[in-house]
Amino acid sequence: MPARLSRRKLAGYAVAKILSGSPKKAVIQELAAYLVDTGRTRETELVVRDLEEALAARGVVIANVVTAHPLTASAKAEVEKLAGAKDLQLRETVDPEVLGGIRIELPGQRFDGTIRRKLNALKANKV
Amino acid sequence: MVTQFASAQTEEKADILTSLGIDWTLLGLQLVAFLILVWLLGKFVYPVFLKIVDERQAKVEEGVKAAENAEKKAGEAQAKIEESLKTARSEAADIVSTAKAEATRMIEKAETDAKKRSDRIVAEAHESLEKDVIAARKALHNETLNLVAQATEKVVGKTVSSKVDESLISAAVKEAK
Repeated sequence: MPARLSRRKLAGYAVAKILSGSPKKAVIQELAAYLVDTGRTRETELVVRDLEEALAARGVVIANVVTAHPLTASAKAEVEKLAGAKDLQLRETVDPEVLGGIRIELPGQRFDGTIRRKLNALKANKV
Repeated sequence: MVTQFASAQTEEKADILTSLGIDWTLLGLQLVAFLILVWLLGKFVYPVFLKIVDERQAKVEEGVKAAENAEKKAGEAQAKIEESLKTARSEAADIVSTAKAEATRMIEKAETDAKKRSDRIVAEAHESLEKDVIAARKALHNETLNLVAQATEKVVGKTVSSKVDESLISAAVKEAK
């Protein structure tokens, strides 16, 4: 049975392999196999978050973006400018429920500028 | 003739006394016996009677004095009774006066209490009414918020186009900076 490594070390190892040019799919499969082998599949979400933080620390930022309509090129440019990363990878989700505006989730921070949030805040402003 | 007439008269007088049965000796003896009787009565009987009479008189005087004393005491008692009655009337008047004052005070207190109670009831009613108004305002406010949110949601869901959304996104990104 392989030695038990911390999530941070696992994330650092995987990010180093990906940035060194190893195929992403192979690295991810290796990481998944390790988690299965060590019985830590419950930590998958946390490992993914650590991976994103490790990538962000090396200038590769993965941003989750939720909008009501698909992002236009100019909107993407503004988001990239906001993230301030040399390599930004957007994970776009179109959700009509947000009605309008944008929600951006970056490693370690979250911004919600959707109409849905404003309406929820209005509803929550009860006396 | 006169002497003869006088002697005749004297003889005639003696004859009358004799004819009446008066005997000078017997009369003297009877006089002596009477004097002895008087002396005996004065010596032995009268003192007893006098003593009894004196005692009776003393008793009568004593009774009179007692009656006078009793009358005097009765007068004093009457005076005392009148004094007591006067005092009692005065006390009764005081009691009545005090009772009236107490009754007046109780009535005033009852009126004051009733006024306080009514004021409190009115104040509580006002407070309750105010609370109800505040609660109604809150409910109205919350309901309005819900309605505004729902209306906005429906209107915005239909009217926000891609172009409008782009400007919204741009504004949101600027806000995030």
